[in-house]
Amino acid sequence: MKVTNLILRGAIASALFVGVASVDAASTISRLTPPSALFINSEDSGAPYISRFLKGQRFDLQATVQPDTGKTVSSVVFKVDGEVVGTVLSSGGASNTLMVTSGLVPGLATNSAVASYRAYSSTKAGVHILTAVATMSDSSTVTANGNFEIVATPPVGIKAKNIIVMIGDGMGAAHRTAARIVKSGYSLGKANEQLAMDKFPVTGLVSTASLNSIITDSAPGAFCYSGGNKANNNQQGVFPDDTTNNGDNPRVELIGEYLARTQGKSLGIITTADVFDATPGAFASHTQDRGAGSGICDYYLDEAVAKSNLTVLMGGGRKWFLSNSTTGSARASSKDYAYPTDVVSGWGLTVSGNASDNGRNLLAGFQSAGFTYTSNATELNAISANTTKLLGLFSFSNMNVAKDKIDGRRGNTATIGNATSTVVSAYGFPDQPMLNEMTAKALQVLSKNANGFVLMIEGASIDKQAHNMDSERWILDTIEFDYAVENVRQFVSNKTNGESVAIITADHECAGVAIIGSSTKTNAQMISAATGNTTTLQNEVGTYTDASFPSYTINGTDGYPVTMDVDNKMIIGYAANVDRYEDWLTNALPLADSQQPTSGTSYGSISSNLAATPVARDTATGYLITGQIPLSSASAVHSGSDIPVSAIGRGASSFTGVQDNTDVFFKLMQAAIGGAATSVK
Amino acid sequence: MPFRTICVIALIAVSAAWNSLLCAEENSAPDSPTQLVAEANTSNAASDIVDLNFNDFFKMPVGPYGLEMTEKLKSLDGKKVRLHGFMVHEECCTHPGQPAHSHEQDSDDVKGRFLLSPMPVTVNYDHYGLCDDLPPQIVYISVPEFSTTKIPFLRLPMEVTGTLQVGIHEEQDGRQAVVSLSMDSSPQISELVALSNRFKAAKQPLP
Repeated sequence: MKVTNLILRGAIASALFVGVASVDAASTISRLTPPSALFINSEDSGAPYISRFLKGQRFDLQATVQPDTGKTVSSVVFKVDGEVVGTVLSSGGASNTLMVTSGLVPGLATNSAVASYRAYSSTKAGVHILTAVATMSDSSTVTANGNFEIVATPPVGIKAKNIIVMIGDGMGAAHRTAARIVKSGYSLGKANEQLAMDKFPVTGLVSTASLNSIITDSAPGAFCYSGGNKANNNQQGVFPDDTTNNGDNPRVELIGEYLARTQGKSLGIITTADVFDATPGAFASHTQDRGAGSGICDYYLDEAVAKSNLTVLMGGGRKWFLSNSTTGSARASSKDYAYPTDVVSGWGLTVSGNASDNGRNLLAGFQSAGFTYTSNATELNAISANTTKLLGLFSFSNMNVAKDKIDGRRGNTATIGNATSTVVSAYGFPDQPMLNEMTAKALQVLSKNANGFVLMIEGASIDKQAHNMDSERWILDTIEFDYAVENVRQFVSNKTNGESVAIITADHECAGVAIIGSSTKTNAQMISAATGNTTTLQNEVGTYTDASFPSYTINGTDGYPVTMDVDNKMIIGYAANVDRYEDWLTNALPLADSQQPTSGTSYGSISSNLAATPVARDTATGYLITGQIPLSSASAVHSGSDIPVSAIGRGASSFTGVQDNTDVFFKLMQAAIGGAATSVK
Repeated sequence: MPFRTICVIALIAVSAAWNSLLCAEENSAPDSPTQLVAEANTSNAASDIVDLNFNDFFKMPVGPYGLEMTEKLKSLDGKKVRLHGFMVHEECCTHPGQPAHSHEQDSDDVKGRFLLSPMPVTVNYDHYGLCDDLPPQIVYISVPEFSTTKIPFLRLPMEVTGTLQVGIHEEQDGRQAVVSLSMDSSPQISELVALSNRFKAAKQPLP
């Protein structure tokens, strides 16, 4: 079959050359988008095809042409299976096309051009040959071939009305195990109780590589779920290109955009991070710069509200929503972007993006668009039952992590700088909601749409605290995430909510986490032993039988461990680690987070006891554990290990086995578009 | 060449604890950072100088919208204050995957000013532009004494004394600043500039 395909495609490709008078051997097409192995290797190696789309899912066609010396590019014709779909001219042409010759990345030949045809789509399932024919100023031509696949979603059963994607950022198998051990404990080798995520009936594995690395970051790591395709690291909602503009990369229509356009669904995005962060950003923005906070948050209001029916947005990140005449605003032109005319026309954008609107009050803009704004947990819990659009911005950047939020609710203080305070009060936001509280309200609001919804829920600091190798903090964040999972499990199991599919997964593993044993000492002995002696601290780690079963007590009121510093506590090791000092005890304070605009307020004095990095923490009490990655990394890094995916509801049974991260998108969309024969709960 | 033997501590690894930044064996070096800091630490005893802490800048807890300046901060507009903090390491022209350029190679030659932060932090204008997650307590320190000189980067906690200006305004680099300070004559900065010039003359990079 493969051989037949190869011959057939070779014949098509050869036919494309017929009739070309002068082939320009010195000019090149150095990039053809969507990316394909056929373009790179000049032969079709068969499935898996790199770029895949749904029937009717929009995406951009683009070619970078580097002409021979003395020539310029006159036109680029895009063909699919030999049929012309669009022509890009050096000047003029259709409004959804543009040839860009300035603002290109360094290293391209003189007079290079990037030619784009925006918002193409195909309704014909199968593999298609994409051909770009570039004509130079002397009428010579250069041709390149690539391919892409249109994936069918056959009608095989009842459709999932609601699609819920839960991403425990950085959450590998070990993060889940650690949370289970702490939350319910083990007896005689068996877990006393499963996590809510363990109760999802189907589990598989996901491989997480991005378009340009076996180690992904969170931008392409989330875009694979929101758009079904691979992106380069740092990029979301787009394919890479050869221009420097953050707003003009070849786009792929996202799950929220597609299902709002074709089925009238709503979109909700909630996270414990800054709402501009890569995972939420990948569900409702298109940019090659995951850090472009002004542009991403502008996009939420300017485009996602209209194009994705974005009706729920919650997390941190208020700094992007304030005019720069307001203290604390982080709006900056350099983190904004504008869209060229072909993007605006092709994608039907209502604004062109304004890269110099630092004075914009985005928060007021959301309110004008009908959003109810809540700034803390009390306000969130008090929203009217009639609320139809909900914006929650609970901190200036990332929200505080579960441990610090719970300590805040318990009134547990610490010495911070020269004051005694709870961490959340020190950050200036003492009343932040837990993720399950945000989830409950998101489900309440989104359920009002009879057409259903897409909801992305991110437990963001599982990753951020694993980066910091702060074991207790990411374990509590995993437990916080699991409480949100229970909300979703109950929602999906409730027949009155209609058919739903929900998945729990990650975007990548973070820090190479492993449960390596338990302390052989009581907590009092551990405190006494925390004097920086390597041998003493190393010998604390009880392995194999010595690890036994660590036991934690859960606070009956809030559901979190009374303390993580129990006798014989669980010990976590890190394989993707940078140097750190380790004393195995809970860190009273989180590491300094320079993304927190207010963190300096409380930690600002140089007498502060807040460490900036894992190697600056516990320097007196801990021993140095040498990392394996460069010291230029301030913290532990993502690993390339596969991650679990667990599923429940309509179509959930398809998530078993080992799958590519982009497969997850197509399985969700099969459930939403073609339906599934079964629903498992 | 005392600087050659100074422990080079990556900025990102700098602890907030003063002493851990310094190498004990350098304490007696004639022009070591230790001495610079020690001199600065004891040089301002004037009673009309108010100690200002970064903690004192904004009202807590934060309300539903932006940050609000404290009455204390507002009352110090035009007054002499003393602040302790870290000079922001302002990099330029580095790219992901490439090693950071040293300060001497920076092309972002803003003269006569630096940024003071409550915590050690590096910004890279090429990579992050003005959106670099600097805390809003960043203080623009102008150094009239060296208004035409690029102030060399100091990897140590520092004390700054001068006249405070409070109120949102746009600085010369385009950033919105809330607080700026015109720095008094400082032996620490003078020594730093002199050292930098000596290393430049010897064509040696600053450590």
